[in-house]
Amino acid sequence: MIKNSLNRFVPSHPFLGVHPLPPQTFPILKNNTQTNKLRDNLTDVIKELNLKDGAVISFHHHLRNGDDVLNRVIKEIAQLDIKKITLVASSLFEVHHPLVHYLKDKTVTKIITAYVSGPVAQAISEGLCEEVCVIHSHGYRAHMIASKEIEIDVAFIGVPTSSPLGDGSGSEGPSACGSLGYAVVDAMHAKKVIVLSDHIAEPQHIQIKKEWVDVVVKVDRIGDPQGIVSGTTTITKDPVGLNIARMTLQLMENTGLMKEGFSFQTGAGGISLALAKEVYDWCEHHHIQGNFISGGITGYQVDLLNAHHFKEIKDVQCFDLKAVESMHHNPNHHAISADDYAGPTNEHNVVNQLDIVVLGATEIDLDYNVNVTTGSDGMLMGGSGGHCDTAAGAKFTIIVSKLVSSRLSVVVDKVITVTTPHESIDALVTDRGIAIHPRHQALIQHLKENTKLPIKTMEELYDIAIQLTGKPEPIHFDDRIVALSMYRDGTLLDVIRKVASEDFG
Amino acid sequence: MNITQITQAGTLESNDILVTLKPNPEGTIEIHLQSVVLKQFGKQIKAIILSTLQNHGITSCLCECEDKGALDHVIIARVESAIQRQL
Amino acid sequence: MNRSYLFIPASNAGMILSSMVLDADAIIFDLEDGVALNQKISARTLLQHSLDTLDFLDKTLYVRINNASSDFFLEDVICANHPKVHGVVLPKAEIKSLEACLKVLDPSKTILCLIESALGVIQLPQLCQMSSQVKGLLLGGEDLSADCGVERTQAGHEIDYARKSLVMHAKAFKLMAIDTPFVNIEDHQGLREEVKYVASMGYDAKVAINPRQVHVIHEALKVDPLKFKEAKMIVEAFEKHRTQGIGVFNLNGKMIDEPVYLKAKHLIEKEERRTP
Repeated sequence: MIKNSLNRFVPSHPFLGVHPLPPQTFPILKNNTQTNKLRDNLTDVIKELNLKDGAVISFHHHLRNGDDVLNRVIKEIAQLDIKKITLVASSLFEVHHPLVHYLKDKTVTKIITAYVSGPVAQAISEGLCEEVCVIHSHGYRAHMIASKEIEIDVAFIGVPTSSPLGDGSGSEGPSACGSLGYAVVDAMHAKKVIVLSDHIAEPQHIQIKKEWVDVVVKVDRIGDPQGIVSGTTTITKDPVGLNIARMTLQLMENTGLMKEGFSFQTGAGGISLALAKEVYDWCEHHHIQGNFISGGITGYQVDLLNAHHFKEIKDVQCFDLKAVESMHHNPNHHAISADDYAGPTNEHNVVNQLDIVVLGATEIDLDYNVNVTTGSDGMLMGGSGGHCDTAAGAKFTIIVSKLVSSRLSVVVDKVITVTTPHESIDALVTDRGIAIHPRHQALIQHLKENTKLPIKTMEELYDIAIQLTGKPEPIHFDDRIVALSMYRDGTLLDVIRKVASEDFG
Repeated sequence: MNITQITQAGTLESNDILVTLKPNPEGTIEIHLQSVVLKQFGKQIKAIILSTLQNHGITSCLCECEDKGALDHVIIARVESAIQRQL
Repeated sequence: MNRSYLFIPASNAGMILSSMVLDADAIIFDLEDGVALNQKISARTLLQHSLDTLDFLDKTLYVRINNASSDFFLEDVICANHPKVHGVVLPKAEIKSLEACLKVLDPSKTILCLIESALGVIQLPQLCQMSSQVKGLLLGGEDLSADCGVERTQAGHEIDYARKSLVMHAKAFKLMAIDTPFVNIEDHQGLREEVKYVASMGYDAKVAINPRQVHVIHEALKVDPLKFKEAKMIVEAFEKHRTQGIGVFNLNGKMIDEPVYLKAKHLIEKEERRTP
């Protein structure tokens, strides 16, 4: 094992700091001009693929918890007795619980993803996946696939509306899910691309191009649009959360970055959305128009666009149906690919143009490293998603969280798993104080002199937390590594080990 | 004092703990704990329940607790209230 | 000077834990109507331990004890004698209950009389003068209207007399006047209007029954920045004229004499004294 620059031991490719990758573009070699692509029997199509043991297949997650595609395809593959599949799924949710069975019977033996929650996450943490999984960022997935660092044998792409030749749109049709940002890269670079659609028609806005597509399979349904609403897309009603949002806005104001033409992204948690509302009111009051809002989009960001407080939305995924609607009707609501969004070798990527990003965290430590991959109990329950991408790109990165929730402190002495390194984190706003990274001495002075914000050091926040909760017992792990936490440049930040099963009777 | 009846205190709300005291025919203090923070604080929570019971002269009881992240002082308060309700 | 008084039921562990990070200037830990009868003792136990253990930062802490005629009264007052507690909110404040309270409450503690009965209203002159521990008067509109056998309305005409009488007595005896809770939690506009209305007749603060009301109350109690600026100008001009031996003068078409000056000075002091 090798020690990386965060003093974590990793098997190879140690993280050695945040260093931009040299710009690179990857040619799209795919050009399928055939005209007889339309099929109606998924079982036959999959049979004809002649998949071998160890095949690498990919899926997107834009149908979120309403997705039907992944479960269906894996079931068909299992029925053909194919084993040792590597699954490159951009994210996995509760709805993918059948996968647990296919991990147990070794149909799937490796998972490469940017986010995993629910039973599949638990299964990985309990050691049910034969090989070591990889948890990477959204940006890195795009790079990994485009650069052929990982070669996708077959990409199965659920497309809400597809023409018989494969021109596809995400924002039209009965199962509309909005942006197909994470599917575009797969479609461009996978060896074979199978589109599954429940609505065959010519789309108005093309996100998937027909020349990338090999087969279009008409199925009865690709998913449940109601399942798109991810459950974290309502503004918090908790007055403590609202306070945190208010303080965060004040901090943002004082960075000097909130001026005409500023660009901003916020996560999808309850507090982050309350902040979107605060930004709305602020823009209204100050008559300032921002440039773009980016990332995962909800109705709250749509409100900002509709009120012309921002010129544009750059949407890599839709978190609710209001966002899907807006994408379809508003010419300033643009779908972007994962590569355009956060591709680490994409010079003009969106994250690099961000002024401020506001994110959540499970844990943040005294060094300002952040964990959104494992819970405080050591179980896998998330992943980088776009966390380390946006944090790296934005001029100022703010983490928002209650300091203590149900006896668990967000501030710890060392995070269980590093998802985003400290170099990318600028501030933490909690209900019991705000910690600004020591690299911003001038800002800290300014805030202390000109505002009543409760500025503290991370150590002070930690002490306040421990005073309240007492010191937690460390989580026990087995030696076996079940997953790797990968940075957006392909280096390893940390390892995730199998959680030890202990009896507390 | 003895635990002679079933008493309860607390709630299942966040940051609280529901404490149920029952007589224990075995004649010892037995604590059964369910907690949202079992791994991190299970030991600490049990210890504090035990010491609170002992401080009130309890030598035998079955103490069933469902914890939703209560801090130490809340646990003490709830155990005390459950004891108080025995009278 | 506290602008908002937030009720926190002492039976709720989570709310007590968050109380010090909410924006209210003062917290009233409720042992009375906010707590079910069979929870009152356990609420007091929880409050006691919470007071011992938690750091409440710069919040002013009050305890609404139970009625002087209840079984819980004595122990509640003992709990309220805790060093971190600033004072008590005395429910159904009348001469009898105030006397009972004064007998057992620590002399360093403040008493806020909750006027919520007809008898309490007409006994205001005595209540205000019985003890220097009495520092404020709270209006309890819900119980008061029940006591009078009338419906409680948003317009509030049924508590009009009590409201005005309370503030008069508060001004006469230099006590704080704190207005009754606004029960429509979602109606922020209604709350804002009511706060502005009672502030215009002299009320200093408002009770909040939900943390989300606090922000609205604070905004509504802010003095108009233009009025504040004008007050500053008046004070500056008057003090300058005074050094020249002039006691009355014209400022932008307005006659400025001592009463006008004092009013302007008072406004500035009040606004500056407010917990920001």
